[in-house]
Amino acid sequence: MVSGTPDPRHDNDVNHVAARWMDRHGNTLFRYALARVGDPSAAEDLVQETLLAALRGIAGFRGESAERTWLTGILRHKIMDHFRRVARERAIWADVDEPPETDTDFDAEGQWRGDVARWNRPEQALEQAEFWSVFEQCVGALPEKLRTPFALREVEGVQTEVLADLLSVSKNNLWVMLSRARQRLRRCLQHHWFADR
Amino acid sequence: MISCKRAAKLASEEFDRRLGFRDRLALRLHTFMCRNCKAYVRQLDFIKTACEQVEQRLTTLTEAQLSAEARARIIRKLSRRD
Repeated sequence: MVSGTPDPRHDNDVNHVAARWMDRHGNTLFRYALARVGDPSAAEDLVQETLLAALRGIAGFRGESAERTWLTGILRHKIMDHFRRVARERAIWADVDEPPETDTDFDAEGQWRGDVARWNRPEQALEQAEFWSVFEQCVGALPEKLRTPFALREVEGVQTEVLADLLSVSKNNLWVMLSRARQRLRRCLQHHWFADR
Repeated sequence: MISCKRAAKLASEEFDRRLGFRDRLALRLHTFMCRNCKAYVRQLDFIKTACEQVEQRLTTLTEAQLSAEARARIIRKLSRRD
């Protein structure tokens, strides 16, 4: 526990704890959620659910992780639950047998239609704010059906088995979705960033 | 030799599962001989690296704030919990 931080286990005043959490971590948790679920009102609900769960579980807070890390851990679980709910309610991942999209990259024989251009020192791009804005736009341009699995897998690092279960899809279909997402993202980065460099 | 399309799919799947021996071998052989797929594999690696950095950037990028109403509503809810 960071010295000087009051230990919520010994704090009898729940309102005080709640207000303090909101002051110290409210915006951070909100941004964390918003960046992932994209919808402000869903993000607010997630902050609320997180703090409620935290109050209930205060005894389990062992003080070995900083308060914010602990709260963020709870929020992560709530975010996964959110996507599980979305998957169940909207069934956007259910229609597994949709016709394969026409492939922009490969011809009928499965050969590249054009040469795959080499990217010139891509690691330098990571240092540039402009690149990140292109990257974000390219991820944002993915259809939701591909974007959510991709972000959960690559950004949140959710394991494939867990993710397939969460979205109620077979592992095989998940691999296909992830492969399509990477393929599109690569194409987008090629067009909007690397082609001019 | 497997097609480029198949190689590209395997290259992606390698991030998500452990490929079987035959698939792994087929992919290695293919990318050894095919410069397009070799470039593609490098680009997937780069995307992976970028995504790892996104995790840290996500929260700092947005400057969104909880509205005063939301803040008050959540605190009210928390103090009334059962």
